[in-house]
Amino acid sequence: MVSIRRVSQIFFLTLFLVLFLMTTLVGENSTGPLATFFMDIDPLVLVTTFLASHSIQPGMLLALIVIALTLLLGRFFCSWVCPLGTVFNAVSALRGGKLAEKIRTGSWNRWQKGKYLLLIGLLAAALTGLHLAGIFDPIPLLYRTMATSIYPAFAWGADQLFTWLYLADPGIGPLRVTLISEPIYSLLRTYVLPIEPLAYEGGVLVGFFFALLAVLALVRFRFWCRYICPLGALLGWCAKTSRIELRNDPELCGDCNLCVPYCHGTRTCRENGRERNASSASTAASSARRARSVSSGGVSADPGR
Amino acid sequence: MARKRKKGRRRPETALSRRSFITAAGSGAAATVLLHVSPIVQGKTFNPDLIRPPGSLPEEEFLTKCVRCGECMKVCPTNAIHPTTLEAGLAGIWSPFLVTEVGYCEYNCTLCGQVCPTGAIEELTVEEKQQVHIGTAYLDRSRCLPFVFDTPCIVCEEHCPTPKKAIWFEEVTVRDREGNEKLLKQPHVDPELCIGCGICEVKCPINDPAAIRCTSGGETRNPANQFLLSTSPYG
Repeated sequence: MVSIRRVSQIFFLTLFLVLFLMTTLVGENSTGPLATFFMDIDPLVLVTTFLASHSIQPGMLLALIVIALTLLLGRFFCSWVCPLGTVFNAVSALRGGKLAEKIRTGSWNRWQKGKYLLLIGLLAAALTGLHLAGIFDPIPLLYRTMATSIYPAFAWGADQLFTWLYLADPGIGPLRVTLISEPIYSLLRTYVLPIEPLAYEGGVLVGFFFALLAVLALVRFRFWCRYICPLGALLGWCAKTSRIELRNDPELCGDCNLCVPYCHGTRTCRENGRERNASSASTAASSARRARSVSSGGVSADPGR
Repeated sequence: MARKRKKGRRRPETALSRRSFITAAGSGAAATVLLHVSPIVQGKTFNPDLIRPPGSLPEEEFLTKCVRCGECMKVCPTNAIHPTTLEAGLAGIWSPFLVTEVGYCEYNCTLCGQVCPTGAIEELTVEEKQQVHIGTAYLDRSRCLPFVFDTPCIVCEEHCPTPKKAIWFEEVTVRDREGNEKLLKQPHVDPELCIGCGICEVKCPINDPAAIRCTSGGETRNPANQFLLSTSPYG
């Protein structure tokens, strides 16, 4: 289940990046397909734009599918689809530290309510005519950061690196670095890099905001998703009616807490319906199987509050 | 807090108290009024640098739709659209604007309107878009080469994309330092034809800044941001 989820995460992140790269001038005056796909499936874009402007674009109704699926399946979006969640998941995977420490920091924390409060604030602002949800909505956030910060920075860096390699051309005898670097560069030029170097006024600040969130992902597992993300909060509300949930058997549970570091929402089981998401269920269940094989007990959902 | 509720059916830990719900909602509404203190957000003033992409709704409506996703910035083929920082007030942070020093609005392109997911930038046909004024170019006669250094230059007029060029020449005879006569073409902007695309600014050989620069004045989307010329809609 974990590996299926990873495949899904990588698939949607790749789709995001491919659609991003294809959102460019094609032919006379057209662009790649599905340019707005990820914005269109984003329920927070739908809800807040409707509240603030009382009108929507037809494409945005795709988000209703995500809402409907969340009502049935729970918060699957965050850990199976969301490209920003995948990025911060990967960043958080770089964290070192002992298992005990991860269990401690991964446990339920009341600051996780922060994202619900932020969502309520953004909804109230939208209702009164201030549409700031896009600042904190993960899909616009990632797209904006990619467009005005990461992509131009990557393009500039790649140009510098490959130009330097070409000029320095280090190697031993006939074996030259450029034999490898030049084909890579021409591939990048064809499929990834912009035709002209890009520069964005204000792009540094956008990048800095993202960098800050990435650092926070090193401090706590998926910090953004747990404490800030208003889209996660909105989906959390939708997930209350979900029929799928992970329950632990208190008879079997050995309170080993091994599931905690794997849980995206922290505190998956028992009463905490809204924080639970489908990914957590799958990961925690697999760690539960592992735990059972060790202690022949169950797995605790209650990491000693 | 959550655990003091009725026995048997505990509230989830994520349950919010009525007090925190009201505080959060109140803060959101307070943010709305606070960020509207800015004159530019209220529409009392207009930032000359705030040139919005073609098809953008009037400022107030625009800000109720734009989700700051950056799709228009990504798709713009000339790198003209950038995220604002404070150019549109804090309420408009990271919304799109044209930096006509870096890129210009391509005459035959409507991509930003095509990719805008929320309709903050309306999707226009090329013909409609070519009628939209996103701003106006102003000539700086203290920097323009034929005016200030008597140097022949026709770059801006050559690039002007409108069918009847918005930049036109007045032929004048001037005298140089030695007293020799010199025939020069001095450019002028016709504000009725100029759409504010900014290609003249990008191509101007003077760079620090250009001798012809675009501002948001005269933009179609804001009827209040016009100049009172006999040629204006207000006659």
